[in-house]
Amino acid sequence: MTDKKKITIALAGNPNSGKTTIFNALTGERARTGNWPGVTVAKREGELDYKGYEFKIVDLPGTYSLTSGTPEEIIARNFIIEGKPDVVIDIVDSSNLERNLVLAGEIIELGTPLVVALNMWDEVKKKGYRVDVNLISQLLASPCVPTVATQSTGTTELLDAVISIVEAKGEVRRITVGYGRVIEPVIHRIQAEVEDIPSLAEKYPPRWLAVKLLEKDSGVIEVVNGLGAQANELKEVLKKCNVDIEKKLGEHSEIAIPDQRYGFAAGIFREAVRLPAEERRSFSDTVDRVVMSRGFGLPIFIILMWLAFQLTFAGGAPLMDVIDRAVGLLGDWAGSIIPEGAVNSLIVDGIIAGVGGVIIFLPNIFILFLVISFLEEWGYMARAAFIMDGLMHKIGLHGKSFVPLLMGFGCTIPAVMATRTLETRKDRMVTMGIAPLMSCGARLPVYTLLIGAFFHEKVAGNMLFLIYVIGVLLAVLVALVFRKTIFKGETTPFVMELPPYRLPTLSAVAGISWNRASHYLRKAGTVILAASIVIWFLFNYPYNPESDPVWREKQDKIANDFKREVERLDAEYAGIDVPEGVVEVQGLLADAEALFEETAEGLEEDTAEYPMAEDDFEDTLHGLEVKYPNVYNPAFAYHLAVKTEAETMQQLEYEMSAVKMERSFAGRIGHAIEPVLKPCGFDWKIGVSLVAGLAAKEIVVSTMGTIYSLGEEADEESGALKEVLRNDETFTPLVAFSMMMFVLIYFPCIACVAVLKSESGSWKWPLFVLGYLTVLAWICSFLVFQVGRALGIGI
Amino acid sequence: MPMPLTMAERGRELVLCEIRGGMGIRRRLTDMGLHTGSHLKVISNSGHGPFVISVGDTKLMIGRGMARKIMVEKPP
Repeated sequence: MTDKKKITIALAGNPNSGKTTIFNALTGERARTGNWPGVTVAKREGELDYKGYEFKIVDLPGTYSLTSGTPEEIIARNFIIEGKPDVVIDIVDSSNLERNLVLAGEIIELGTPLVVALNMWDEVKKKGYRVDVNLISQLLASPCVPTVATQSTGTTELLDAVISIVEAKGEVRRITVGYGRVIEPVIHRIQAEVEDIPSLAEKYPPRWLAVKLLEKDSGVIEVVNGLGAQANELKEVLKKCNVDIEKKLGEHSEIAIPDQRYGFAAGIFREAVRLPAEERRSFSDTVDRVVMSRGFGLPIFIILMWLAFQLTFAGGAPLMDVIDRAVGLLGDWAGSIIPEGAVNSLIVDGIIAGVGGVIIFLPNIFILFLVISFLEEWGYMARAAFIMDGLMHKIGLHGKSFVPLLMGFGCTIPAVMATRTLETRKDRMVTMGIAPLMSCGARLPVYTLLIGAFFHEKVAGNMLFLIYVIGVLLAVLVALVFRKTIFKGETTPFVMELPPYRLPTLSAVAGISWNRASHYLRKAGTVILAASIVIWFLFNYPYNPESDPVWREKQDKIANDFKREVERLDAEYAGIDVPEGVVEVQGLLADAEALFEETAEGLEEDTAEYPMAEDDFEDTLHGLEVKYPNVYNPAFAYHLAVKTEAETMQQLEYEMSAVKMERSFAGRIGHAIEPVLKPCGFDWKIGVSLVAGLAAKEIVVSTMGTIYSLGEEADEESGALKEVLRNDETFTPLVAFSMMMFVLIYFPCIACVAVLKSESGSWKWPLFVLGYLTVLAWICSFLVFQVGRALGIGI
Repeated sequence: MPMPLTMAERGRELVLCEIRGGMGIRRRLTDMGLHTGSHLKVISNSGHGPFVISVGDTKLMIGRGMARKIMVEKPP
């Protein structure tokens, strides 16, 4: 009888995976049971002849892994290492694949050729799983054979697979179980040490040993310790590596390593197995499947957020107008009943104007709160936090951080307050630190003004979007920097309650929103009140042109010029028969003029509507001329005189305001900081406007109005202000963009600083945030301006 | 035999036997009602979407990295 070729097979697998059944199916009668040496664990061996080979089959104890935890594991492992079977068949419960794959991974790591028996295959069919056998084979670089041990199906295929491996000896593809960027280099280092020790390297696969050492496998460590002095260097390196891993991953290597192994198994499972369609689920669950799915989750989120913003800005607008008008009326009324002087100015220009500017935003903020509270009560926010967690995680934040950051687009103050929902101090501080970069609503008027003045209508929307995007990008950058420097450490693990969807009551939502809104009002109100007073003082003192004789002279001159002109006209038109007619027509002329002014206020000279308005005006004048031929000329002359006086007087007043501002404390500050701002392209006027923004960003535009001699009435829609800015030689599109960058980034209003202090517990963080934001603003403006100038853009 | 939570099948009732992580993680989970001995049930483990379990009457979403560190086993 020719010598049959011998093949030794070891059967491994999880307990309850049908290993014994397969063993019996393979060996039948020719099996015997004994004990593994030194232990009371049963050892089964058997033989089988097939296709000219003599198979010796050893049934290893059932184990979940090959780490030295239990005697079974040690036995199984030692047999594979020392007994050197030709092939290991891993018998796997196919309906429980993921866990079973962990063992397969470990067998691969030991280096012995593997065949996987996907046992209990009938269960897979019954449960409706879809398993891609070929894919698993590929991913494991090992043949996979579906079997149903109880029906003895697949056993011959198993043996065929074993034979094919044995016959292809040496030319078999292998895979390595990877342990990731941090651990792999460490494994290599230790592997190198292991390879230097012959007694180790000859007996054990070096890489496997390295992994096991890192995993602090007791059996392996015992072996190494038993080597005495030769292993000293290895032990040194090992110690260092463990510390290294712990530092970089934030967890011990003995946890990190098995963790990666589970990841390996999970990865294969995810690729190759499709679970059956879910059974009947609750409505909530069905909705969630879409809301949190990879495909629809983010788009749904973006749409909802966009809706939220639309509601906030569009819904808030009409109310804002009402409040604007109300504040204006209040100012007028107060101005009229309080005697002229400092108190009048303080109350009207300082307090009412300042606080009013903030209250205007209340509708916006309240609506934003309403929307967010609704989404929270409804339960969506928890899902949104999950969806955002992926992105947030990348910059070192928790998914929950996105709610405060979102609110920052309305107002930074409630955003900072909202960080209370974050669980760790680290998350809170970092989120608070970057919330100001989410461009708040108060900065919008500045953008509107500058974009309207310097950029073409068509690109206006994009410019605005660009500014907001830059804010977000900077926030991401700063968050990353914070996480790498002052707030190092692991990201908070994601664990969040998943509340069921429930439709909230209007009263509940309104109640919560009102609560938050009033909190904001109180916080903001008090600080802004104080700040308004300070700013008023800085802008109105020490110089008052009213008391300066130079200006008094000019006012007198205008008054006298007017008086003389009227006298002259009286003389010229002394003989008019219908003086009442003159007055009447004068009135009509004044009306027409006023109408034209009102229409033209928002327009600029190069828009299409302006000439149309001009034409309408001309037509009205012409009509009057035709209708009242006798009195038209004198009426027009008087009208002109009145108009000239009014305009020149007003212009003088504006000039006085401007000079007052220039010579005020604020103006001096502006001049003082001009050298610092010049590299960003700014002059002292811009400087003063930026200083005004300290109190509240809303004030920047009105300050600009005053400084450029257009009075405080000018707002971001004012055509006149836009024109003045364009004509100013310092102001170019580039400077405008640079200024927008500065306004975007530099620190938020004083009220916000106050809230930062109360939420973070000390002055340290708010002062630091203030500092870094201003420096960052300067750097960005500087870069924009210098680079733009060098490239010749927008000058 | 303990296994990571990620490998548990949907619908399975399980007992938490170990949390492989530092103090921080352990505390977070305890706050949410998960500690050694807690009974929990896997609601959703589809590979996409969050890992969802129920502990008592509460449903929790757990990140996968986190779930791998929670070792569970079948109740006795």
